[in-house]
Amino acid sequence: MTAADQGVELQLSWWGRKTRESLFFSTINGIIHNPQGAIAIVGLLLLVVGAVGAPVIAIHDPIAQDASGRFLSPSTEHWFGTDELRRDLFARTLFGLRASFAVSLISVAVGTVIGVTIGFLAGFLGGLAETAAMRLVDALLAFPGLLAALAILTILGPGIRNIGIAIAFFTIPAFARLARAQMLAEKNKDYVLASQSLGASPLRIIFRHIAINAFPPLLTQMALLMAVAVLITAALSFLGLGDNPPAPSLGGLLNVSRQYLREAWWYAVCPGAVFALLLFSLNLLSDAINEASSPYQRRR
Amino acid sequence: MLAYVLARVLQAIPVLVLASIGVFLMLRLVPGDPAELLAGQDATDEDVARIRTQLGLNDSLPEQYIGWLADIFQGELGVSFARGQPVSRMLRTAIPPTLELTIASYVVAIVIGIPLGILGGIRPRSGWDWTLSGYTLITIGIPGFVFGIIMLWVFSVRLDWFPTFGAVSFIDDPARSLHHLALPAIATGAGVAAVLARYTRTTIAEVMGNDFVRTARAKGLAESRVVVRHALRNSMIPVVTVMALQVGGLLGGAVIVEQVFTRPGLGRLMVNAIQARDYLVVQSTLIILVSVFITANLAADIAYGFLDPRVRGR
Repeated sequence: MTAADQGVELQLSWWGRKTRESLFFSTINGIIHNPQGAIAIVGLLLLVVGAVGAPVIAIHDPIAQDASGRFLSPSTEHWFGTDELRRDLFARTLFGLRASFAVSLISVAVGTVIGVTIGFLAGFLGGLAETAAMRLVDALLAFPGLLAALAILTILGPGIRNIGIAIAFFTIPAFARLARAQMLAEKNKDYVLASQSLGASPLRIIFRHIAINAFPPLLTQMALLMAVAVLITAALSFLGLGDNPPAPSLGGLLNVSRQYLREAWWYAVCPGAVFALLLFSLNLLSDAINEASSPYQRRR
Repeated sequence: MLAYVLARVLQAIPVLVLASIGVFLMLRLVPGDPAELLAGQDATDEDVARIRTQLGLNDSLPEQYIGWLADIFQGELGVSFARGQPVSRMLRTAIPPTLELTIASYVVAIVIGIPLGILGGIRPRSGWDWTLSGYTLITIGIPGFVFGIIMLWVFSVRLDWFPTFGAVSFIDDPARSLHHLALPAIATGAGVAAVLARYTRTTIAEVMGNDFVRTARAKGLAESRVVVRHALRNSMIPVVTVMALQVGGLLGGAVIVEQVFTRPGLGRLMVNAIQARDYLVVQSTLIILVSVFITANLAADIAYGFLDPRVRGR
């Protein structure tokens, strides 16, 4: 590195330096500077604030039947109107969103950790372990996600917790396959040989070195599967398989709203719009991560 | 060709067997004694004992599995404890509405998706291409069942153009059947149409860049003829495969959309059965849906071989 380079380096802010050095930070930088990514992040921030801050933001209780009437149309008092039991729909939507986030995040995270571990180990070890694991993954992927979820709900019984388990379960094979492909692409590279010759343990190589380089595609997949998880959670609650009344869920709200379309259009439209924003943002985010992290784009 | 088809069918069999084992084991994985579960809550000890011998629960698991498969092939699916009807009869009334909905939404998906994809693909960055992008974005944000509710509100409740619930058999009364089918089919098909359109667009755009398209234009063919006779023929191979692969998505969508429009199909049957813990019904419905799904994937593979001789050689 020449002195001139060093000068430039010193002038960069902390953020600028980080984006140059680290794949992680450069990916984040790429997402923010992509219009799609920016929209996705703004949308998601809005929703996360709404979900996390639900107890503070919603002035009404989501369960208490204390509004002054049934089916009040949206007003400054009740932003999303009220439902058939005089409950505030804005509060119910926010708490439904909160439940949706919680279930999807936890189940996708669990599925990712298990799936990636299986995929990495299968790819790294090779041989019989790899063949066996990957055949199993193929078999699991042969089931469409929704049918698999329905089968698991039959075994475990309906309920929001069991929906989470079902989602984690079908997240595993998708990640195992991707992680194995990443491992196969990385494991014969020079840096792996270098750390091997330095005496690094296989586990260290997998999780400290290879995992970092395999990270961006996994992140893309995570955002995409979050969208799928949110969708399946809502679909199953919509079918009436996820609710523990009186607690609200996005799908549950949409399901009940169907019976009152004549009286209260906002009952379906408001939670539906929040749900649509959530799906939009997650899909756009997944696209943006993909673009930001593909080497072709990064080289600009 | 025959060898290719045979090889594909042979490859599909283990998947089917594995899937059926999965569905079979489902009942055994439910916590508790299967016989007591199937008998229901207010069954007598004799009932439970009768079911136990009926299901052969005293045999070994592999024996039970073989017996179960044999029963399925003979159409003996047992009796639903929740409704006291033979499961086979319940299925016979539930399959037609779902089948009609799946076919109708397939038609919707193809009628919207393929032309939109072609128009977007032959002129990238044209108005049609932007329409396609916008359409895709909308279907990503608004899944079928939400779209269904919106249409139900606008067209059935507000405008009163379509019925709000129920289904009519197509064979009995085609006109009324289509009247009931229109909204659910659009709700289910719209999302799949976007997948087809995107895929068609990509393949067409690729094919349009080929030398033979330039040659066709150079020899003075009308643009419509270039597209229809030359570009389309060469881009339909992957599209046909994707079309067959979408059957799973359509079935899943149909199961949920049935709930929106209160259609008495397989989806409602299965959901009600899960809630009532009517395991035999769930099991039978699942095995049907999974078999259809696997068969559709097989059909996609075989269609691919028919259309593209290079695939067969491998």
